[in-house]
Amino acid sequence: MKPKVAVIRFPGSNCDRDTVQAFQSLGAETTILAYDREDLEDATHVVLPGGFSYGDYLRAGALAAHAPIMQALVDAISRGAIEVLGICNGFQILCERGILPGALFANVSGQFRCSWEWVEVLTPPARWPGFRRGMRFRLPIAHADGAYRIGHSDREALWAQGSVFLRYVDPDGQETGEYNPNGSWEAIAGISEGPVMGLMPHPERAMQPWLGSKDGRLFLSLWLQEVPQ
Amino acid sequence: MTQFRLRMAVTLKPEVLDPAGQATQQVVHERGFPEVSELRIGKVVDIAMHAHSAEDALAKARRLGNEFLANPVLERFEVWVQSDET
Amino acid sequence: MTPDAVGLTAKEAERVRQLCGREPNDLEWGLFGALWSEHCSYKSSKRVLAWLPKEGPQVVAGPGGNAGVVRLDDRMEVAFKVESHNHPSYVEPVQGAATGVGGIIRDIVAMGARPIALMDSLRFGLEGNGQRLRDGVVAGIGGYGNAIGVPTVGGEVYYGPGYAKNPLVNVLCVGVRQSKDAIVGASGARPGQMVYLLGQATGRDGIHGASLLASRDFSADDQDMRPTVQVGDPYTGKLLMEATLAAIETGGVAAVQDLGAAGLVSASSELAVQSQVGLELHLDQVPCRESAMSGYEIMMSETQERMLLVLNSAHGGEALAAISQWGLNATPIGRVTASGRYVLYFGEREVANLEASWLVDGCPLTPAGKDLVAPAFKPMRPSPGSMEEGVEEGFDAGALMAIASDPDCRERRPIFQRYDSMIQTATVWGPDHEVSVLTVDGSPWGLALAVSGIGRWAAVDAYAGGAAAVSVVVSRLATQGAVALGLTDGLNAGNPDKPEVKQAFEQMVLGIRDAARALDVPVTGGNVSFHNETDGAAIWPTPVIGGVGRHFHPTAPVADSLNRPDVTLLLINPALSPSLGGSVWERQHGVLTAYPRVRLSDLAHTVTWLGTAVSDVDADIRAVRAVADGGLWLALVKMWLASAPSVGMTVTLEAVHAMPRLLSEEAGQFLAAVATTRVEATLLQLQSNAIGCLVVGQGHDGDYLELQVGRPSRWTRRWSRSQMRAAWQSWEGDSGGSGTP
Repeated sequence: MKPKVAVIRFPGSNCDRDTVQAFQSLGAETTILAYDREDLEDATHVVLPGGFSYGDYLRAGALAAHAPIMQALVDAISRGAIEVLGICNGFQILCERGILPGALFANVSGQFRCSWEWVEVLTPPARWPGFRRGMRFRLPIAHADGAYRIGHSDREALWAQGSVFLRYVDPDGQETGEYNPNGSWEAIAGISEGPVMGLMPHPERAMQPWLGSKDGRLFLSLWLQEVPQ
Repeated sequence: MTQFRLRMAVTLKPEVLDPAGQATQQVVHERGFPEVSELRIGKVVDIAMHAHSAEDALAKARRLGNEFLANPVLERFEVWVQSDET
Repeated sequence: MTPDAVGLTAKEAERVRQLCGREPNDLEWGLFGALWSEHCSYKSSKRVLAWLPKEGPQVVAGPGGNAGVVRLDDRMEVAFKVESHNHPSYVEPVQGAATGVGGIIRDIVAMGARPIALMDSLRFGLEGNGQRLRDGVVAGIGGYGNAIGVPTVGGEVYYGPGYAKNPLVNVLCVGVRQSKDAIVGASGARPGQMVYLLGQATGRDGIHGASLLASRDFSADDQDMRPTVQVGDPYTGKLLMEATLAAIETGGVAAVQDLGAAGLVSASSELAVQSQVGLELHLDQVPCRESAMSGYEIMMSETQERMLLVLNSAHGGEALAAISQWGLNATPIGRVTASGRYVLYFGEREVANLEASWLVDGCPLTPAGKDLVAPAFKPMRPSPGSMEEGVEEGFDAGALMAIASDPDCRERRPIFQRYDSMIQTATVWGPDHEVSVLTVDGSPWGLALAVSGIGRWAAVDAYAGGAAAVSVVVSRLATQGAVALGLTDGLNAGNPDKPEVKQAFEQMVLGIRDAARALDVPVTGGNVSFHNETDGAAIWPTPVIGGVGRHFHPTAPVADSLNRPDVTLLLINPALSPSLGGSVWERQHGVLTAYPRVRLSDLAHTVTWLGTAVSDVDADIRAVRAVADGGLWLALVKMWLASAPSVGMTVTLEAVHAMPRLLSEEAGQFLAAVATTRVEATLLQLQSNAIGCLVVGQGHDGDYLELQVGRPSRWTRRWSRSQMRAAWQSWEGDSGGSGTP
């Protein structure tokens, strides 16, 4: 089945256009869905894009987590009818809604950070076999609240379920286990559980060599489970 | 000297726009709390300090508020004694 | 209310009475006071700004509107302008800077253009609360720009004693629109159309911000006159931006004006004058955030995130529908009339009845100086301890490292990393370069953007500083082979009532004029900020120039660093007798003499040559940078540090005056690395174009920078990459905690 990608636009989303463009450049049929809908149309793939939904006021992603469309998303996930990707603010929204475990705290620097980073696949997600262990991507981050945290009691389950998807590695692509641009626990950059994936870096910004990297093409192609172009 | 526990509430001055409170109020309104007519967001600071008396503790806390914890251009604060431990 | 209380002089009050033919009421006095303030009326600068060239075949809209507009190609146009938010940023750095960003973004949106880039030009003091102000301003710029989703693609920060209590926050915004779109701005309103207010509800924010805060000097006892500080709300700003652009797209918008300084009175009267119509506004219809606001407060409020729209009857309904899609409401507050009168009502009561042109154009202007020629250059005697007295031969390695690590020269990553520079996925070159390069959707061409304005250069000779700011910007665009389409000027100075400030201001503008003319670039708009003066101490006159260039191959910028070492280093259009006037070196040594006059015709020549040479395979220019602060030396350091680790450089200079050669900041010089196999041909090309050139070194495959002075070399010094990096990135060890430079 050809994927039909829907990018959800919350009030204050600001990577929605970039994300639509990125998927369209991969040849995927892509539309924008407004946050106040109560259905997902016929989307097979739903993306929660980056941005500052509701200004990130209260907490990043907290207010968008209660948008009407989120209930439709929860229902579709439980029916196994859909695959979900949350990028940056989208990841924060998924955690705030409890769709993914954990929470994104303020960067340890206390500051917004925009920089190119290397991330590496730690645990290949069962749902997306194209991501292989050790695979590396050069992707930008741009966030103030990207430090992944999870309660002690849930940590074991996170490892056991193979949810620790992506982690930051140092600028030379070396796995030092220490390099960490935002203070995430275990340098975690992304999580996956079942049909849901969330990450802080922005693959949709890494689609052309002249923008600094085209690793995002591979990343998003693998998420679509399509042959990378 | 007694240890006092104080709580300070730092809030935006009433005339200053609170974008965070405004956006939050809008969402809670739409999501089942239409009775909420105002919602403004501030910070709560819990302080423990040794002082000779509650008045002494409050005076010190007010100085702390004026000089560090509140931005006098935008914010005001209230402080009160929660408990004392001898 | 007395005229005095609203900031009018006796002469101005007399003029008001004359125009009105009666004694105005309190509200009317207030309106005049706000719009005749320095900030709104440009009364001290208007006649001077008229000197600037503003014509060109590519110019779609020149000065006077919300922003200048130039043509990029047959389909796309570029709107851009720089604006200052200096005084509010001193009062409250985070919100002051944030609202500055919001304001300039709305200006671009009001031209019907989608904002695609921000750049900022910041000035702070090094002592006192300079760092606190800088941290706040950077947080404010980032907080707003990051959230609204417009990338900050470049900028600059410099320091000086005068900025300690008068920080400068100048922000440049660039937007694009399609040429086929009707020209949107404030000039399209026609009688019978309805006037709408869109966005945030009006509060008592920033009342008197323009007339008092930005139009007077500060003194220690000014604390109490501070108005309620405006708070930036990028969330509402984002919705407002999208709603306005969507409304314009429907064809239902006849005119737009954003609400900034002096809020509704400024926006509405400006719109009336530009459209040559009358207006009838009902103040009781304005949605208010606070209770019991008076008509005066409603007219003066500087609440952010508001836009004034005039809708046409044909498609106005579609525009309103588009607006509500973004969750905002547009409230009708009045209508456009044919009477030419500017009439305000509160309920049934008429509370003001004037002509908008009295408010907008009626203010008596300060005459400009008559002397339209460049002031004579007055070289100053070298002060004791200056370079000319000191190191005549050889070089001082410690002094060179002190330049590399100077706050004016060192890397700015800790600042620009706090800005999203990549959103909108068009940033090919961002803030880690001296010129930013962007692709433009819908055009094969892209944009080269640069901003510069070094107050130090204008401190002694404002004419030289003004000319240099333009020269640096055009030079940076030229390193990309980009054609400069237009400039915007953010002019910052002290109290214009002081003769010396006024004179320096005029000379600064003359310098800008002469350079813009010589380099054939129009100035399409900008901003003047006077009264950057506290307790009698003024800033250096500071001409912040932003430039927009047409980039012909934006996905392949001309490199500013090297991948291979087989190059010869050339200093193109070198200073004839290198001067340290106005340089970082002078400031470090406690002297400041006149900055050299840029040789404008030589620069124009060089820029023309570079335009083709940078993409000429025969010339084979591998990397090029414009010389500016820190001189040739800093250009070398930055080119080397950005180069591959396998590239080293050996710089060779004559013994005499080697230090001035390295450290002169004379604009118009270029450091170019040319393939060694092609260097003879390139030198011939330069010679036949009568462009001066010095061979200043070679690339090599050692990972070090070596300086050799004297031929044969008598003094040498070698720096490892880690040594040099430590100096240039010296912020790493500084400031603790917050990790800022």
